[in-house]
Amino acid sequence: MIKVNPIYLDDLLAPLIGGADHEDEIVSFSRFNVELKNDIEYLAKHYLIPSYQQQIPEIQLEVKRALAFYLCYGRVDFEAKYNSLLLPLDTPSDARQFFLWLWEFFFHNESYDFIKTEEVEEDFDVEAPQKLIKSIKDNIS
Amino acid sequence: MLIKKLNSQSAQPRNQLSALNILPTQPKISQGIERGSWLEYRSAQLKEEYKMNREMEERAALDPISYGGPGFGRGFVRDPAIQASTATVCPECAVVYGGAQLYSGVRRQNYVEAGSGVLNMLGGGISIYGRFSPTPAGQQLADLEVSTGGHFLSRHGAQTSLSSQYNRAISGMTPEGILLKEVDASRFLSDKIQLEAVNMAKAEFAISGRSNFVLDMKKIVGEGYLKGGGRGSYRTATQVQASFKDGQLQTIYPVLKR
Repeated sequence: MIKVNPIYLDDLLAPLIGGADHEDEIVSFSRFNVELKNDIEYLAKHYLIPSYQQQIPEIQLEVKRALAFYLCYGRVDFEAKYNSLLLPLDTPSDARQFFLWLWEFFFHNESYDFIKTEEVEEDFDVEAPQKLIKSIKDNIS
Repeated sequence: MLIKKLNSQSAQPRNQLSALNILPTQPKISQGIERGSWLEYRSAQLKEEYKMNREMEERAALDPISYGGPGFGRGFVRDPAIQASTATVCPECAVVYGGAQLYSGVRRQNYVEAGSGVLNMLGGGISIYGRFSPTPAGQQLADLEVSTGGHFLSRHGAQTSLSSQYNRAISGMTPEGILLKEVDASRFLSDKIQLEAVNMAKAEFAISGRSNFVLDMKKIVGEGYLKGGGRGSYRTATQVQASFKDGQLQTIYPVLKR
């Protein structure tokens, strides 16, 4: 049994979170059209994936599972999730499609269907990532 | 009551009105305009102000937290032209105030204390003012915001009005009047709660090293409106999103419930 938690979807967009509160970030990211796949690919390659790769492997795995699960079963409101992050970008007309592109750029040729073979339990603890990091640090020490 | 008096006696000579102490000083912009037309103009202006005041009082009665709670008094929209025409400049603090409440340009994240505890916020023709009692928590947040260059107080602080948050949700206009993007717009319920969230976030950042995370405050800490506004867009919040950059807190805001 594995747990999936929608809070890990935030990590896909981590470098942009809260950017809507900053004029300079809005200006900086205004050149990206969220409806265009090429623009999102550039955004992913130059901003989002480098940030994701800086995360510890355990967090990366949780992010991958969460994205696979919610793309597969659609049990999250992608637009609401997107808007809650105060990104310096416009809201895409199809937020699921936006996350689908992220899957493609983050995980290349993999299929998110792998999650169907797993026994999954949803977890909604928003502090799960911090707790995971703490538990890893505790185990190391 | 003041307006009713003025309206009923508007035909009286100017000196009699002055004696009643209800005639405001004629603004510079109106010099050269005939007295009669100026009185009509001023009368209409005061009528509008009276109407807005009544509106705000009614809203305050329904929603005392937003319009009458600590750190916030009343707020209403004024015509920038009227503001410009009735403003005066304090020679000591260089704050522009008077009949109008104008942002002075003094960088205190757009909050300017003018006179005895009056807080002025202005931008883009929107003026919100009220009796401001700076709390120790509010002062700490203001200092932190200035030192980090963030916007967590000016855009999500308890001193912002619920109506200014609604305005941001539907138009992108921030509470201090800067036109940005439409967002889920939220504010903290009090400076104390926001400071508590800030301290928790700093502690979490120190432990986990994560730059972006959500904290569950386990109580209602904020409120606001979902992007786009409309019926049913009002939400409360029990969680806060914190964002750090280069080790500094960039923003912290209540995450509205869905």
